[in-house]
Amino acid sequence: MNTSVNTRAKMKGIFMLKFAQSTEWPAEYKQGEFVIAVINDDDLAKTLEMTTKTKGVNSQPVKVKRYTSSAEVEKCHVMYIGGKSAGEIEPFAKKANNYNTLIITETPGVIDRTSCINFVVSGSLIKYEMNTKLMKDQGLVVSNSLEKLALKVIK
Amino acid sequence: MRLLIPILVFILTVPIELRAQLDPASLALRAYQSKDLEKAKELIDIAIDDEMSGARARTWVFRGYIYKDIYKLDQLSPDGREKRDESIRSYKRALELDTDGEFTNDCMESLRFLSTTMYNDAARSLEGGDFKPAVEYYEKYKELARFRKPDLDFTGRDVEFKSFHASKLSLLYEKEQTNNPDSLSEEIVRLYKEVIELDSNDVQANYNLAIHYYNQGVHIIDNMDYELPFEELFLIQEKVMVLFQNALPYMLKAYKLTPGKSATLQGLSGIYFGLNDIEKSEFYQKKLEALEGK
Repeated sequence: MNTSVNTRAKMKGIFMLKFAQSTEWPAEYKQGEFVIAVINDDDLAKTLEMTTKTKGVNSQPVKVKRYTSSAEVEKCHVMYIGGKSAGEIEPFAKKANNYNTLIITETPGVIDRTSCINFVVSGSLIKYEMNTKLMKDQGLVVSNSLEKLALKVIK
Repeated sequence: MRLLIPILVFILTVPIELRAQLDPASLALRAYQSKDLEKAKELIDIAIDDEMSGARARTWVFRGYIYKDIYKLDQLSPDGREKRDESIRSYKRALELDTDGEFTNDCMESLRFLSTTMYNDAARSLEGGDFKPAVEYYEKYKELARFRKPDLDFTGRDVEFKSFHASKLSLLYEKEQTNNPDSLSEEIVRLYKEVIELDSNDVQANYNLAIHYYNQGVHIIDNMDYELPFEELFLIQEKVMVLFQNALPYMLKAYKLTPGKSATLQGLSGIYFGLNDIEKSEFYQKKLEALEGK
């Protein structure tokens, strides 16, 4: 049995990189490293590191950072916050709101006010819901294709 | 000693006047006794072409022995195996002519031995990765075994052979030693399904088939690339989920048959995890941890 791959982490990682490719950041974010912060999901962080080892995102090399406390949060392009409740997510999201950060989660009920993109499982498949209003508030421009394939879009 | 008895029987049954005339069969016997098998073969081949000798069961029995002994000296070459085929043909002809049943036991015993060598060749070919000849030898083995005992039940043998065949193909598949993985995968699935059809309670076949489906899915996910269009990623994900769903009933069956086995618990936890059913994945993970005393 092949236990070397965390299938969920790999799938989520690929989707996250695809989200990143389909999003436009303000000009000052288009240089240097493309920073992806990961909270509460080491397998996902490892997968992202492995997947982006030889190629970056939007022509920028990828740097994966792991945060364990909201106090550590710095400027980043993407932030994945793992957690089972809004209470776990909000302190990190609040800090990320200081930057043009695409906040991604996998927690029910957080898409309405905290998260830009939230993973959901639908019929065994990993899908996502989006909050394009929040993305605009974060200064991000999202491609139509991303919106088109979302399970639910909050505008 | 076992071999000497039928030969002795043959010698005693050759009519004295025939031996005295030194016909090809008698000369073949002489050559055989002096261990000149090639000469014996030449002479016995002449004997079977003779109208009288060729119509006698004993001539064919003796031919069967000669060819069998030559084969035994060279069991692994194509030439040696041709001799085995000739030996089989001779014994079968002898049985047709042996209306009194005088040589039936000897012929059947020799055919039993030869069918065993066919099975061994099938297993050896599988071991060496020569799958096509392996299947051919196995079919020949069955044909011969069925000739000896028409009611023989091959279920156990079929399960054994097909399982071994599938496991060898799985190794090739896992090591990516194939130019056509899809066709190889179909062959593996077909074989395991045939085993399960023969014996639905075969734990290993159920487990292995589930693992094959699961590993296929994992392999696809592992090779996913974020440069692919979004729509394609969704299609790939759907394809992978079908593979995980295919794996599930077989792993559940293996678990039902051996609930205390850690491999099946790990398998179920992994499959449910792949299907994004975290609750069930954790359920089996906890069972596994309890089993392993963690």
